[in-house]
Order: sequence, then structure tokens, then C-alpha cells
Amino acid sequence: MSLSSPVVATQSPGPDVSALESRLRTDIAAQRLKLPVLPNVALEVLSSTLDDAADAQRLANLIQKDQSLATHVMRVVNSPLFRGSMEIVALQQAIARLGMVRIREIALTASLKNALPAKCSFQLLMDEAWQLGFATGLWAKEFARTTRKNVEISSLGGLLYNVGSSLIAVELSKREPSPSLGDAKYLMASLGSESGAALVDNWKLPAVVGTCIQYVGDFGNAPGNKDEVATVEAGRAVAVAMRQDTIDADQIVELDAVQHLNLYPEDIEELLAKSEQISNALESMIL
Amino acid sequence: MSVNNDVYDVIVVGSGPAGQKAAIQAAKGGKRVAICEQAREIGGACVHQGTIPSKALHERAIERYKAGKQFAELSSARQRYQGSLSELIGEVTHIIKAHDSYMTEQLVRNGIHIIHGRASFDDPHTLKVRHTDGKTSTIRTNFVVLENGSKPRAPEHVAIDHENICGSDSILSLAYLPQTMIVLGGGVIACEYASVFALLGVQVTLVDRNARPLGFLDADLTSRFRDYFEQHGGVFIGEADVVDERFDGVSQVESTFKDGSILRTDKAMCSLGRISQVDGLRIENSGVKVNDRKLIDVDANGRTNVPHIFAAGDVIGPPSLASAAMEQGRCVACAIQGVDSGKFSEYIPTGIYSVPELASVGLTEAQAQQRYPGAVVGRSNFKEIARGQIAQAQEGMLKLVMTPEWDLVGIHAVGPFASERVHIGQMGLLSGAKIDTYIENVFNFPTHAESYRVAALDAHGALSKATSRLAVA
Repeated sequence: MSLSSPVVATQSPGPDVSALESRLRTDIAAQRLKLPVLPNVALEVLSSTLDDAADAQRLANLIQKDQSLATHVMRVVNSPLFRGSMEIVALQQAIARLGMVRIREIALTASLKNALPAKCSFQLLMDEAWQLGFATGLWAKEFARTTRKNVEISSLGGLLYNVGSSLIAVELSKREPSPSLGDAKYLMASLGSESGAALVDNWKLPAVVGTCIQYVGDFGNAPGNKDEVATVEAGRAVAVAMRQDTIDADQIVELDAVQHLNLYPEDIEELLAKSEQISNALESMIL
Repeated sequence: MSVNNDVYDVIVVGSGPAGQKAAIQAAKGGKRVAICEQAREIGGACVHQGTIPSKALHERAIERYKAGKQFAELSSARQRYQGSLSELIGEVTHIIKAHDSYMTEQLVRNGIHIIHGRASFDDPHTLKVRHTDGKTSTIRTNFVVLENGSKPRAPEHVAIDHENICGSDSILSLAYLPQTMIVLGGGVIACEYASVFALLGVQVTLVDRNARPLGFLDADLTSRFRDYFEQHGGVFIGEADVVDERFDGVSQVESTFKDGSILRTDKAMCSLGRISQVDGLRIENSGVKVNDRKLIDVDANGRTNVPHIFAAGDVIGPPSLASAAMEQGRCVACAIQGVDSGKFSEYIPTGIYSVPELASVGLTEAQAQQRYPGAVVGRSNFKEIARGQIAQAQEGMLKLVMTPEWDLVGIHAVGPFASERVHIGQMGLLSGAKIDTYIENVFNFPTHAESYRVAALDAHGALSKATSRLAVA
């Protein structure tokens, strides 16, 4: 599997899939796809990411507004990786243990997931997509640190770059007959960025995140924020390689996005040394 | 894997101000020149992280501040800049790109070969260049100019993560303006960013070991800087040591002072000096000696202990100014060609793009009094200058320092265009002008330059008083 195309079909699409792809593409362009409503909590958590007035108490209050979200966050922070010797019983305590950024990421992803129907025939693929988004966000953050780009934006861009593919999964689960797993995977990859773009306005995502959703995999054609998109694209490549347990520094160095970021082999080696740390963080966040 | 094996007359390692000028001057002299740059763009830290971005941000911040002030006067709205930092920086990015583009054109026009990669010595005449794709090329040369520049120092007690605690190379990556910020350091970069952020409405605390910020400047300049900074909500803590600074893991940066007190801020910037970038050069293969401070020692022509290897810019140490580096680069190229580069002036102007802008050339008042007992100063405050009133730059000031023999020996300016204004005095300084030159000649009115005449008259008055006192005594 190519590092730059993480979710591709294992076989060429048949004529039925091509027709479905075409219909879905038309539906997206005509804004006929039913877009999930983003819960207010998620919107507020999202806006607090790039807000100078954000503080721990406000974040805790936001999360507490949504019981299932609060439960999810508490479950994660009480995982063996984080809880240490003492059980975490309050959100403020959780924030103190994991930090606002991590809690915000957990809360944001959980609330976004909650925005999509719980029962979906392609739940497995959706989970995979979320996990890949998580990992991409974590790696994008490290790339941003190395290249002195904004860490918070890169993290958010990575986390949400493939949100559109989950939307396609939901849409496919409504179709009769239901496409095969392979076909669904193909369609999620093929239409993910287009459907994600439809969410950008609807969910009032920051413009730079919208650009990441639309242009990751094609950063060269991004109308702006090329560095940020390349950062997320590089993060995604490493996330994919890590998931496949095939991290190869030489392959990563040759990626266009990595070349664009002007990273040398020694920089990549330094970045990849953080694999274990990221793997642990990922494990804790996808509980 | 080697992909080429070119031979050049001169290879310049680094494309900062010194590197560019050395390369162009050598190419104009008919040399076959290559410039090797590890970054994607030409210009070095000066263009991408230092001189140009901070100055561009400075201009934008002042524009926004003035616009916000006018709006506040009309609507009583608060003056804190309401836009995002990325909006301001977005504009800066365009300026940097334009700068990169014309510099590249200039190099190409002069037939200079630009090599993108990290250079290191194989031997004194051979450099290996490692490219981003992992490939290497080998280049040979008769002369080498080392212009590797510098990078921010990262002290062990400051946990720089480029997210919560930034260096001067990552501070512009902030997506939004924090409410509070601590800036460590009292040098040029620290004061420039601290004052710009304060002007934009951030509550900035500037901390330095020295009693006053920018301690190398004339005391009048630093006190005006400090006053203006504090009027805009900034706090300066002098003679203070932060012994530990780290993100608290939650939402704040904790800076612990030597006395145990802790300051909590949203973000931090560490600007505790810069160090030269000689690591990775495998300089030991060249025979060039690096001193204890990791700087390369050179003679007056920029020549190192290895006769065909020269160095210029931050890698040789102070004054670490882009302007001086350009001249060092030109001198080095002249030396390579056996051409007399002329006398390198001891009077190097300093321009500091803080708010207010500061500039200086020659001796401070304290230095002049030590060297020329009886030296006097003359001041011109902008609130008494028509152009200063028009420009609403009442904080501006010009200070001239002269010897008892009326020789101009120092010029110090505060306020708009200070770094431009100081050059009028610099030319007088270099030509050995007496202070009366500025009294007996006519300046346009109303102009900032008029302040020279006013300050010269003030100095003349001060000297007359001093002479009268001596006569009475």
C-alpha cells in the first residue's frame, strides 16, 4: 500500500461501484447529502482550540454539558496508561493530568463521532478512519514542531482531515443493496475529501482545516496553507506506515510533502524516534 | 550516492546577508560561484525568522494599533487587536516570499549556482552536500566562504516545545494572540517581539538578568523604550533570573524565578541569545579552528586560520547585524579577489524595530564622557517638532553627543523612522562634521530631520553653559 494513499480499494471498482460513486459525487456537488448536525458542545470545543481566552475551567464546563462526552473522557483518562496510582474522578483533575490539548482532542473526536449515527454497517471502517485521523494529528504535530509551523493547527488539521470519509460510510450504510466492504473502502477514499469539504462550511471549521480536508494528498494544488497541508500529509504518511508496522525512513524522506517541508533524512530519523511515545498516546486516545 | 562532481572558484555555505553579498561580489569579479543553502528558500534566518519577519510584523502592528486607536476614539471600544495573529503573519509571509524571489533572481542573474542541501567538509577543498532526498553530491572549490549563520540558543532550563514555549524561530507560528506572555531576554529580538506583542494588547512580562533592557544602548533610549512598553501594559522585571520554565501540562507556562516565585502565562518566548551553526559542517576536516564560544575567528579580511577559507556573518560573532554581515560578505569577496575593499568603518549603526523604534550610531553619552571629559549632549523631543506632532509621534527623540571641541561622536534616535534618521548623523560622523554643521544648514520643514538642527542647538547651548560655568569657576 502506498504511503501517500492510505485508504485505497484492494480491487478496481466494478461498474456498479462506479455508478454509485458518480451518483454520490453528484449528490455532494448538489448539496443533497444529509449532513449531520455538529453538537453545540463540539462546536464550542472546536472554537476553544484557537481561542486566546480558553482555560481549563471553561473546557471542563463545556465537556460537562454533555454527559456521554464526559463519560468518554473519564474512561480514557482512567485507562492504565494515564490514571497512575490514583483514580481520576473529576474533569478538572483529568485536565490537570492530561493537559487541555489532549483532553480537547479526546472531547472533540468523541463529539464528532457522536454526531454520526451510532449504528452504521461500516462502523469498522469508520473506526479505522477515526484512528487514522488521531494518529495523523499526533504525527502532524511533531512535523509542525520540527518545521516551526503552528502545532495546534497542524494537530487539528490532522485530526479532522478525513472526517468526510466517515460521512460517506454513513451514507453508504443507507444504500440498498449495501456495497461490499472493499467497495465502501474505495468510495470512502475516493469521495472523502469532497464530502469533507461540504462539512467545512456547515460545521464552521477553521478555513485552514477545510483546506487540509480538501487537499491532503494533493497539497501542491492547495490554494493556500500549502505548508500546513503538507504537514498533515506527511503526518498521515507516517500514521499509515505506523498502522501497517512498515515505517521506513527512506520511503518517508522521498515523499513530496516531506520534500516540500525541507526535511532531511536526519530530521526524519529524529522524528521517527518519537514513534513509541505517539503509539502510547494513540492507544490511550482510541479506547 | 554522489550525483555530481563540480569544481568552483568560490563556494559560499549559507545564503544569509553575508553569503549573498560575498557570492555576488565574487561573481561580478568573474569567479565561478556556487551558494549552498540548506533551507528551501534563499536568505537565511534573517529573511525567514529574524530581521525581515519581525520588522514586517512591527509595521503591521503599528498600523493596526493606530487604526484600533482611531476606532476606539470613535466608539470607546477596547484597543486590543481583534484579528488573529495568523492574519498579520499571513501578510508577512507575502513579504518574505517577495524578498526570497527577488534575491533568488539576483543570484541567478549573476550566474551563481544555487545548491539546495546541507554542506560538510570532506577536506579543506572538498564539500559534500547532502540533499533532502538523502542523495549527496561532492563539490570542489578553490575558496570557501562560511556563512552558516546562527540559531536561537536553547538553554537547558527552558523547555522549548515550539507550542507553548517558543523560540524566536517559532514565535511567528502562533495561531492567535495569547492573553499573557513572558519573554525571556533583554536583547534586540526579545525587546522587539515583547513591545510588538504589548502593542497588540498582549500582557507581556519581559524578564532579563540586566537592570535595564537593551543595556548596550544609550540610557536615554532604553528608558524611553521601557516607559513606552510599560505605558502599553508591558512589565519589565530586571535583575531577575528564571531558573526553570516549562509548560504545566495543562494550559499555562510556569516560569520559576531564582527567589522561588512563579509567573504563569499563556505562552512564553525564550530569546536568550543565539549560537553559531557550525555543527554538522564537519569543520574538523577543514582545519578551521572554532573558538570556545563556537565562533570562527577571522582576521580583518574575514580570513580564517586556513588561508583559502573565509567566514562572515553571525558565525564570526558580534555585531551580528544583517547590515554589517552584508559588508563583511563584500569584504571577504574582495579579499578572495585580491582587491582592496576599503576601510571597514568602526561606526556601525544599530536599528532596533521595537515600539518605539530605536537607532544608534557612535558613542553613548556615558562612553563619550569617559573618552572625552566634558562631552555634552543635545536633545530634540518630537513633541516640539512640527513633523512629530503631525505624525503623532510625541514619544520620539533625537540625541546628539559631542565632544567639547564640537565634534559629533554619537547619534541616538527614538520614534518613527529612527533607523532611517540616524543615517543623517552617521554621514556627519564619518566625515568628521562639527555640530555646527547641523546649525548652519537648512533642513526641509516640516521634517523629522529638523530635529537635528534642534538637537544641535540644544547641544550648543549645553556646551556654552558648561563653558560659562568653567569660566566663572
